[in-house]
Amino acid sequence: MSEVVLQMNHVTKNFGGVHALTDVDLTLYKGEVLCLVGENGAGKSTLMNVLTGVIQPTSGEIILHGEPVIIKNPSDAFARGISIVHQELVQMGKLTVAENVFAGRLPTKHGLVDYDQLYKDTQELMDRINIHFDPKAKVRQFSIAQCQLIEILKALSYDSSVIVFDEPTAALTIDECQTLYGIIRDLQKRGVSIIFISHRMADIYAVGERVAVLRDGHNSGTGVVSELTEKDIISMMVGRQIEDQYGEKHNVPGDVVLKVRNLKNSRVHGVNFDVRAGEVLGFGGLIGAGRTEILQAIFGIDPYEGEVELEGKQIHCNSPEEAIKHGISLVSENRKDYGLILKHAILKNISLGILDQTSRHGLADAKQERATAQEFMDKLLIKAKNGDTKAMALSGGNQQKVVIARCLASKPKVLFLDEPTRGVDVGAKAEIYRIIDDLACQGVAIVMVSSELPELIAISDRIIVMREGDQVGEMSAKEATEENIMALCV
Amino acid sequence: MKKLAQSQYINLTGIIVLILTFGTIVYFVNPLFLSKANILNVGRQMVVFGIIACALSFPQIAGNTDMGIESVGALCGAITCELVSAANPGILQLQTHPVLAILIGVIVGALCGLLNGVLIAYTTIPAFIVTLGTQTALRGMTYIITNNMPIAQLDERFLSLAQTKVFGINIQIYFLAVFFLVTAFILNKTTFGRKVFAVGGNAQAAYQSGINVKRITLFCYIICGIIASLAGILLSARTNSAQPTAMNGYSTVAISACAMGGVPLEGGEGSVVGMVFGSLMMAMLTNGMNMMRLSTNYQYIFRGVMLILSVFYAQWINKKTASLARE
Repeated sequence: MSEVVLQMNHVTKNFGGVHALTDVDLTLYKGEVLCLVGENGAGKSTLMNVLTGVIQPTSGEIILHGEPVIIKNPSDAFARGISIVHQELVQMGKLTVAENVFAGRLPTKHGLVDYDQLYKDTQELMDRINIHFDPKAKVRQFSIAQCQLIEILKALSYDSSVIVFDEPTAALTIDECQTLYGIIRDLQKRGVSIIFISHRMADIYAVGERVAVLRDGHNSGTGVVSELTEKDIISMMVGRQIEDQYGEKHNVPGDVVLKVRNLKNSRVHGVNFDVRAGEVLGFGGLIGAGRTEILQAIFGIDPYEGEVELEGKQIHCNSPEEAIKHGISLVSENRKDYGLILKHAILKNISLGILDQTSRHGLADAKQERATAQEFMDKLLIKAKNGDTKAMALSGGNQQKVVIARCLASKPKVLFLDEPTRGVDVGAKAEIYRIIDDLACQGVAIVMVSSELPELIAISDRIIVMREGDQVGEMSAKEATEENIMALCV
Repeated sequence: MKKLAQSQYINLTGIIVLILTFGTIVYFVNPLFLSKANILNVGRQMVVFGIIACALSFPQIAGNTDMGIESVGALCGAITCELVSAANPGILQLQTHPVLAILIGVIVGALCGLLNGVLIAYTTIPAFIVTLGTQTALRGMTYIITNNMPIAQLDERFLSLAQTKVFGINIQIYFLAVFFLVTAFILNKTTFGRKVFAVGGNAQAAYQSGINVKRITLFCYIICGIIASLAGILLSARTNSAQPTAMNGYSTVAISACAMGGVPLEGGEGSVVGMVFGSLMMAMLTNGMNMMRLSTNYQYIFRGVMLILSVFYAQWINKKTASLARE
């Protein structure tokens, strides 16, 4: 192998009594893509926070280009050529592309910002990796993928030798992923070393050369990607063999519960479908194809025209409040913004869905609420110290289960799941699939939107494919393959 | 210590230490600070501060704010006083039974809250702007109604709201206790209160959980208006008159009391116990400065500096105790 760029030796980090990292080693060679994988809470983020100077390790050393260094803070990390492209991208929406890339370092002439120079510099960076933005465009309207590119430009502008990507593909469409892979390979050719954090096997096999696995804050193995199977990597992550993460399906579809005819609004152009009790109907398509919008319209968030029939009765919900009263619940694709009250306790989050049902004369029945919430916490195996733990302290998978628990508490007849496993680790994913199967067995009609094709095919009974607001195809899960769904999507 | 760290009251250590520190300083400058007469004095000053903190807590916990509390209080105090004044210099030229007068004052307060609430919940105008506007407009109405003059010669029965003593303690302090208890009851024991916290915690998540966020916001302002009107009415009973400039600057006092007591400006959290300490601190601040013989003009400077310092200090102490408790 070529020269070693970065070495992290015996890194340990304790938060109070919690051992986030124990004696972790990491080696990065020049111009390679190292995939860093592990379940949520395995210590990937902590390790990267140590590398980028966000936190200081309790013990251990970092050797950069052969010399031991102490990385004091994030700007120190940038100065030493270590950049990170964050999972949750923060761009200053009111500023332009160029201003975001060079934030805090705008070129000046006579004490004023030299905009000509700024735009020229930005254009140069964009030419290097062959992307085309208007440097003067405001960032506000940019998609997640576009914001990511800005982060990458930022990293390039510091002449970084190490770039960390923190779950960059979690919110990207398949096309956008391909573009990103291309850029990463390009960076690699220029001698940049990449640390790529991801939950997706597809990412690892598309760009990864080596993989390093963390489990519970320890090294759990490294290897060359081409020599490992998916199962090998997953078993390193979870420390056990997961035979089939999707599990077996047991549900038997019954009578039609939800009937939708000619549903239309600005984003959806006439959609028709039925969902049966105990059936999982999957919606496939690219992000922006109108799948989320269908769910939001029926759930009362967005206005629509058309007919919706629930158990033979015509309904038209103008708010989530009405939808929930009719027995429809929605697990949103963005749990942090729309699903959870992060600073409130788990139990309070769950009981949000049953406040009115348990109240007597407007008084909250705290006992009943706690009991119900606790019941769902146990049933869904939500891992936390206790029900008073704040939602923000949970891993992505457990947060998602809290949202599902809140939706289930109101005993829905129809459950909408929008990207139910986004940002959820492998172990929790399998548990969420089991929950979906259980619900279907109990006769809940489930509509699931998913951008992960293997998941969509394995979990759904029937799949409808959307493209730019149009319903372009329907198939049973048996006849569905990734290829024939993709062929309809694009 | 572990148990303390998890307690919801952990973030009150800051304000408690602050009260003790400030109290000690004032006591050393003027030992009379801890005399029985002065303690009762602080208690009386705390009454209005505590009630307006209760008023503000509803919109504030729901993630909004209210800059208009002071004018709602002043307007409703003035209206009620005109209705019970023998001199009657205002424009109403009416005299009614004190109970009816108070009822009318409270209804006006509820209407002011309704106006704020409708504008904030059903339009996209920010709460700060709406309530700043109502603060100015309602103050103008107060000047018109009072004819720019204090309204005095109030009905004896009305004045008994401030002068009666029960077990040697002024009845207003009992009123304050009732306000705190009722507020705590509504916020913690009713589904409405639970929804107020949810809306302030994350309005979008609350909406998608089936909570009618607009209705909750509206009711928060109506309750706020009602409590603010009662604060104004009780203040005028205590001062024997309705001043056109009554409660000037009290919105800031209410926000300070809530902030010191752990209701964050973005909402979603807060406890009545915290508000008790917050309003006690605000009362001690005014009283303490008098005890230290600071002139009124300097008191403004001092009060402003203390507000900033005390919130900073409370945050600092909280951080210390939280990390101590964790270990």
